[in-house]
Amino acid sequence: MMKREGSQSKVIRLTDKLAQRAVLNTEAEAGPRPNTRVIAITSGKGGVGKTNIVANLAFAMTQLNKKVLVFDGDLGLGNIDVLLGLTPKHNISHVAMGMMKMTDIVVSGPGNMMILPASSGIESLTHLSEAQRDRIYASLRQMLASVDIFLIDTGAGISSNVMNFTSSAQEIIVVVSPEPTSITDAYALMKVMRLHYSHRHFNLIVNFAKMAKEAYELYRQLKVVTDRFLDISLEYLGYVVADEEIPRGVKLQRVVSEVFPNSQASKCFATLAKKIVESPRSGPPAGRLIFFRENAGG
Amino acid sequence: MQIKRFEARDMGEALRMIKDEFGPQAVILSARDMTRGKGMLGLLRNPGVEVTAAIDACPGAGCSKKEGPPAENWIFQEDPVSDRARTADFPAGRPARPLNLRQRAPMRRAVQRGVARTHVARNDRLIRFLNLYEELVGQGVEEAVASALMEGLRRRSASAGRVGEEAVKSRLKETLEEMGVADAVGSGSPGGRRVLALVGPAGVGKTTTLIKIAITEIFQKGKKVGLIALNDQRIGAGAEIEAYAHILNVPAGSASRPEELEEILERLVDKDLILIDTPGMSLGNRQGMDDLRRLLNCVDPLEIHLVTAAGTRGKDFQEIWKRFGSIPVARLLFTKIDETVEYGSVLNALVHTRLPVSYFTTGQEIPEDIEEGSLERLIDMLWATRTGRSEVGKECRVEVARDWDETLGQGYQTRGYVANKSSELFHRPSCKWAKKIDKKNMVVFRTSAEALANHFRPCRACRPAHGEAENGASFASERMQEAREMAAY
Repeated sequence: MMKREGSQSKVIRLTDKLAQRAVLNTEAEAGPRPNTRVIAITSGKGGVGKTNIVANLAFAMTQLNKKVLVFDGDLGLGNIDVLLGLTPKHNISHVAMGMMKMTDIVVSGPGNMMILPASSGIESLTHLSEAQRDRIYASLRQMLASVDIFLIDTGAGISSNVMNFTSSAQEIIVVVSPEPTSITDAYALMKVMRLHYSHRHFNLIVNFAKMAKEAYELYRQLKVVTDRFLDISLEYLGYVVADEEIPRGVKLQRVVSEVFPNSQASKCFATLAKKIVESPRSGPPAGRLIFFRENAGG
Repeated sequence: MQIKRFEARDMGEALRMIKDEFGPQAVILSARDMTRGKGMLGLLRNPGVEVTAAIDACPGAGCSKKEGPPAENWIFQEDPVSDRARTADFPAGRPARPLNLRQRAPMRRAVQRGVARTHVARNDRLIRFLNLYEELVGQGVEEAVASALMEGLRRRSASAGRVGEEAVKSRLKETLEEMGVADAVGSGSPGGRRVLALVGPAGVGKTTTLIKIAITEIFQKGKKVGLIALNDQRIGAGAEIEAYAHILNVPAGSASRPEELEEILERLVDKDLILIDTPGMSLGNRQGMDDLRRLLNCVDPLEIHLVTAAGTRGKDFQEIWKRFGSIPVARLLFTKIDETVEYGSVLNALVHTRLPVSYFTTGQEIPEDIEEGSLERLIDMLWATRTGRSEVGKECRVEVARDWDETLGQGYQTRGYVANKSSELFHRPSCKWAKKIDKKNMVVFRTSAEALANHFRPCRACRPAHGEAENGASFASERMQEAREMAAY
């Protein structure tokens, strides 16, 4: 969490706030579409396939005629653009520094999904100042108006960046893989979300599952623990099978769902996307979007 | 949150490991059979279990943990009250944990609901067994015994998916038999003369039990019975037996030397059953024990029943067993079943001694409060206490009879009344309508008043509410009252 330090930074933040309010006032008219769903995909542990799942879900959703915007929330080490074979000229760092607007950095990916690329290798972005985050929030807010589904690919870990992005979403999807370390990290993430951000509802996707039964068993186990120790609800969305086509797709820098639509993994993604799109929105009721609430996690 | 996989030879061991490492709050995530080692053709494999458990050491202050029982997998849940009771009442090392009936029952239901919901039935079965294990241990069943029972259950349930309550019970019985615990097969040979001696520590109710057996045999089975009291230094020890014998109009004698005993046995040669009461042996009385052994040695054939109170704790029972070890005990007899809510120690005793149980006595009423013992009955008692479905002791008179023959064939229940849940009538056991009651609908009552109180109406053919004096039991009761008055002089 950001700590209040010294009077100097207070002054800076005040001026930033003023500037931000000016931005907000001009952009407020647009407002988010009442039906836009904001979904954060997170995992706690790295390497469980978040980014790949985001890319494939986004593609599968576009195939369901949804307008999808993907935000790479892994600000300092973003690589969804790499995964999709895109080479954007600008990225989120330009927005954070106030040089550009979000609309300027959007690139189009497979299936006409829109992507907001993150920077890779800019260390300062791994811990945003509150001013920078507010700025990003403000300009993201504007983007919401034009899409049906807004997917946030968060980074690994439970740093304040990750948690803020995650908590500002209406729906949270936690990705786990069948490894004890992944399970404990997912649990830890949910615990922090519950304790410090009062988020009570989570969805689960099991990645790298050998079969459906294994995935469900993993969900059951995690649920046993959350039921026992955390006051949250955990819902099972589905699983993605461990498919050799996935690394092949990654090496080709293409989305598996696009290049190998008949692979088992692609079918999993299609099923998941359908389920998410068709499921009633969880979280706060429509019309009271909490996305990018100003005090998110503050 | 921490996760760990535990490998162990059996579930008891796994649970102990988990408890040691994670404490009582741990939850079981999964449990499965496994074979360790990949010997050639599986020859060198060891059977074992793999249990995965998890714990959140500090669930966090802001997050209020759910009140009441958690939805599933509560197996390590111990309520603090009973925990405190344990340390207060049983400072010794035995895990005697009073079962909190009211708290356990809803938790159990929660577990069953959980079981019905999940998909991986096989694992769930194992988890359910783990729960059962905890419950048995909670009733004072030794961990090693409970663990062996669970292993037996697991082996027997290898193929079946869902295991019903009756199936679990019958498998428990099979496992016990396999462990060398003999079920009581009748009470000795039907023909021929039986000489039966009751031995045991002082104050467990040997004499009372002896009289109960005598009356049951006389009035229900029509046996000719003789009573013998072996004397000790206590004044008037033999008088009680003789007073009872007078009332029951059966011959009796008392002996303190082998010659006297032989002489009495000679006199009672025409009896079907001779019951020998022995002086209560305190544990320190080595001299008395030697005398007793010498006396009993000169009786042949002789069936010795070791009488102990059902609530006797494991270590105490071991000590008693050691002291009486020099006497060839053939059966165990447990008294004061109504004074304990934990039957684990009875089970432990059976497992360790490998002797069949002869009788359970369940109260102070002579002659009503005695039943022939069986493994099934014991398992039922364990089960009933475990699920909190029936009250213990006097109140558990109303019970569904398991079998017609068992209800009517065995003496101890013919005194009662048989009710039909379907017709809501109750009958004398001899009534022709009583014999037509479906097992499922049969309820047994001790007295007609009890049946009436439970809203059953008397049968109009056998008129069970009238003229109780005709009944052998009440006759015996009246005589007993006299006997008590006399003995109490």
